[in-house]
Amino acid sequence: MEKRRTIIMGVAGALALALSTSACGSSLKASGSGDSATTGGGSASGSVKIGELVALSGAYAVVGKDMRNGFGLYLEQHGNKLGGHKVDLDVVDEGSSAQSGAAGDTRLAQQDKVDAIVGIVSGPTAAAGRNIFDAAKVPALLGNTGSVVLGKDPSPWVWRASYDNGDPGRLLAAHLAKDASAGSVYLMGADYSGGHETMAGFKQKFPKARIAGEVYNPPFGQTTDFSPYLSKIKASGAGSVFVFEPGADAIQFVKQFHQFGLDKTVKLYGAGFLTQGQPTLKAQGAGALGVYNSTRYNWDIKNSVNEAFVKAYEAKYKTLPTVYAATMYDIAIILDKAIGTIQGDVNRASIKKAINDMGSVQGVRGTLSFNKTNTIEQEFYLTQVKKTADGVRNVIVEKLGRS
Amino acid sequence: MKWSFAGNRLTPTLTVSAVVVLAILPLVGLSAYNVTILTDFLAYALLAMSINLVAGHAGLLTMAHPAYAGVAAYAVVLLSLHVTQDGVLQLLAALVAGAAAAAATGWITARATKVYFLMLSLAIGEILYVIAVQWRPVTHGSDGLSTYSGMEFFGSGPVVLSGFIYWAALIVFAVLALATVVLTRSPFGSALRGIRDNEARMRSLGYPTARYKYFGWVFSGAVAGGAGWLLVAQQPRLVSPDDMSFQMAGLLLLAVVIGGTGSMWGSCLGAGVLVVMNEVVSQHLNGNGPLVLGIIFVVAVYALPKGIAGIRFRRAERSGGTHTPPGPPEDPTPSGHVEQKREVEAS
Amino acid sequence: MGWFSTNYALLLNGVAMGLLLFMMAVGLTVIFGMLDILNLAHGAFFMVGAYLGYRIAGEATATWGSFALALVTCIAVGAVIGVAFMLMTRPLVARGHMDQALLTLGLALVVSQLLLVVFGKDDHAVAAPGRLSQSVSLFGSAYPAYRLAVIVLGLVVAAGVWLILEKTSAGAIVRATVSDRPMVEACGIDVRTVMTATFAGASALAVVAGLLAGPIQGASSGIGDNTLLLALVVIVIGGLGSVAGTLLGAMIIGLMQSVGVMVAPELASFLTFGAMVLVLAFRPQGLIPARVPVSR
Repeated sequence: MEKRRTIIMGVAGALALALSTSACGSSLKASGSGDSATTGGGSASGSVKIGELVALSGAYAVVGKDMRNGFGLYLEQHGNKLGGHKVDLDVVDEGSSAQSGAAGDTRLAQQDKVDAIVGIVSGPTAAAGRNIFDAAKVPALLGNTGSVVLGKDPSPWVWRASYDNGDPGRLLAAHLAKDASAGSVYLMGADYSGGHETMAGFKQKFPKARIAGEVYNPPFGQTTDFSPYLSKIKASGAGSVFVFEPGADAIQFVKQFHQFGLDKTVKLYGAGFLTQGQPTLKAQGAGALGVYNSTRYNWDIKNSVNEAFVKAYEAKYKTLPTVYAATMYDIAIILDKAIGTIQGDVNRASIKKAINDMGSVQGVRGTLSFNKTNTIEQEFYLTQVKKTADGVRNVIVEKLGRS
Repeated sequence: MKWSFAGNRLTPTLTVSAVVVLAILPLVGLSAYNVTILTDFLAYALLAMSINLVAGHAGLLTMAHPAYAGVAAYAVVLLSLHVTQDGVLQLLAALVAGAAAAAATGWITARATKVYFLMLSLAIGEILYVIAVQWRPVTHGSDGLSTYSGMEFFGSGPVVLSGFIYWAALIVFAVLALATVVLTRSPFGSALRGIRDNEARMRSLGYPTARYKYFGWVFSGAVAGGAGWLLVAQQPRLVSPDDMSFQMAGLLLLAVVIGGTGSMWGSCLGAGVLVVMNEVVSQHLNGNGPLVLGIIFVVAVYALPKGIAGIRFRRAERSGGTHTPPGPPEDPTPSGHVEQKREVEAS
Repeated sequence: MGWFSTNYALLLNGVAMGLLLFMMAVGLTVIFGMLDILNLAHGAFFMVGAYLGYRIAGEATATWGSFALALVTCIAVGAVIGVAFMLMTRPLVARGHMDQALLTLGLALVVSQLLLVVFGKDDHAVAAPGRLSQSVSLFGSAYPAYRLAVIVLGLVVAAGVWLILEKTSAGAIVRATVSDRPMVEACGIDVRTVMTATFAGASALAVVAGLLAGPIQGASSGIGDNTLLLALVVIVIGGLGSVAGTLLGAMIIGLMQSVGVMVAPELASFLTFGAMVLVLAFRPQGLIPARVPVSR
């Protein structure tokens, strides 16, 4: 009995000692209190620590993989340096739930002591991250989600380098409103913030009288049979339908839209993700032809930065870059320029200032700059899926205007 | 019917030491992030204990309790967003919400056993999950609901530092865990185990078995509610339908069984494995965390017939302690816990 | 007739999805009815079939040849996995059905994750073979030919399972094993072989169902869990262990989802589980109970 008690006390003591050596910021003191400038990777040693938060597992893993590829390609092309400083990349898995995403936010902001954070696939993770990054005073450049709450209540530490969820809809709506041949428009979205915010954007700029209907379906693979929704669209007599479906749902929706013959009478407009990426186009087969998208990036955007990017990406990954990869590549360009202007210590505060003072930058998406709400301003394009000499691709049809 | 404390002297010592270690961790400089993980551990451990109460001691394997915890978590966040930041009130709301959800659905305890019961509890968990997803105006659907206001305790002002939240969480955990353990060691607990082993016999002895099971269910629902409060204690105070999903329910049930049904601290260990895997180790597995977890569970089901708790206490079993895991729930032979002496209980 | 020609799609879809659900669920109910094992890895089996379909039959296009090859592979793989599972659950027989069910839960996690490791985390589609990937004209609008094929196939499978169980001596042995195992053993039949063969057959059916559902559902990481949940609802409503009940339950759920979404999209998923709760509460043996009460 004595022996057991001694053992327990010994273990407890050892545990306490071991854990105390892992202390990097007490839980009983407010973090970022006065030491925000120094809590970062060794700026003295000339390296900058970047935290990349993307989905490595779960339903979003596909998007996360592309994002890593885009960011990684830029680093590879530039000797693993941003702004002349060596990059210490810390990749953290966002997971597939809001909880795991929030845990990833917290980990990067408080535990891993990164100088800046890039990435984030899902809206809830970004929404939770806004407060976490703001409290920890770490600059974050969001590379995928355009969660509108970040625009309504922006934090000086968080930039949406991706877009605002309402942008594709707003710009497409302005375009379709002038086009009488589009007829009435039916709206369909996945039932979560991505779908709702995209449709809300469309409704802002489109005459209510011409909206034929609105429906949301259970998201993330819970809807396998779209035929009831297709029946609704058909019954409404709409001339066009604006759809937000991500991932696997996009594949099945486009396929079934074609199988039920709706593509003969109804024009299909996506929010940029419906026919995104060659693997998706391959899976959709004949159904993808003719589908329109309102998107912030396409491989055939004409500028020298993009042309070089597409060439390099294709050489390395044997496929055209997606919007997810391109956005992260642009973020790398932004960081490279911003960090390059820093005289002195590269830390959280100096990176934040550098991004704010940066002005505009030439990305693969063209001329990019941040507006008052820390959201990127960029050109949007209308693309259509066509059969080209190089196979089936999304091709730019016209410009939709700047966001 | 006696209160049974016979047997293991080891457990109280171990438990007290563990609590002491847990309590001093923030003082020795454990990082804020790790403290948050520890709070998650407390939440899942308490949830596992609530499952163990009905699964191990009443033979009711459940997949509904994570949903009860989820309902409580939503109640807490909604209360914080619209009514009050008082931490004690939020805790009370969580306990009441969990108990209410269990009470409203507790009729299943009288209706089914074993596999049917498991499926019924699964259906209930799923219905609550679907409500969380579909009721967008209230729950924000798949996006989840969050509040950034810290809780206030006895007029303290918002508590946002993870260390202090952790201490509050530890106190709540200790109280609820103690209550659960005390219940299992009480005559009521023995009666539950008797019902688990041979309900017909207990009925013939005069026990109102349906009422006992129902009360045990509601009590465990309240404890699950407490776990829900713990889930949304640390910043960011976020709850989403994923916390109530079928996957979560399956993982927790596995954790309880691996820990050893019937052993409370085994459930804590099982929950600990879950948390360590998901939040600590998975980051180093390049997204393969779920696979490793599955393998661990499969191996454990084979290697640990009585769960983790089964290995430690095999020697202590012979001294007749009630804390030992009693074996598979549908073992029809009555255990030694049921007293032959008949006692007329006030029903 | 006017109402029918505008709404026929709803009904046909309900029937098609219902029969697809039947094919998904019948393997689960056979295993449960015959062997008293709640195989929670059923969804993972289904996923195997879908991914095999993507890889062997083809994603953008499929020929009859490649689809047939996929079918044969699915049957073989399914049988092998079934035998493997049977062997894995054997040591746990003494520990009761709960432990076996939980083992299958752990195995489900392992199998579905392994699939993603082998086939990658991308979302994929499965193509219908040959002409079936086209649409036919029905009542003046297009209807995918493959869904009609699913209806036919589903009825064939239902008839086949019923025939095997009711009309063949092998089926008689299986049914006898359920009701009176010692008697079967006394007749000199090795019961373990019968059980293993049944498990193998039911697993093969589950994997094939995944392949057949591929052209409609695709192959992605979430389909295993979705399928398992729906299959559980179907077999509970129909009656655990009852093939006829599974057919009825599947048709009800299929039609409910098809019509339900049209009428009240927000309530569709709610109704599915609500129906399950109602049946379990008031008629736990199911709508068409298995003739032999399955022991609990």
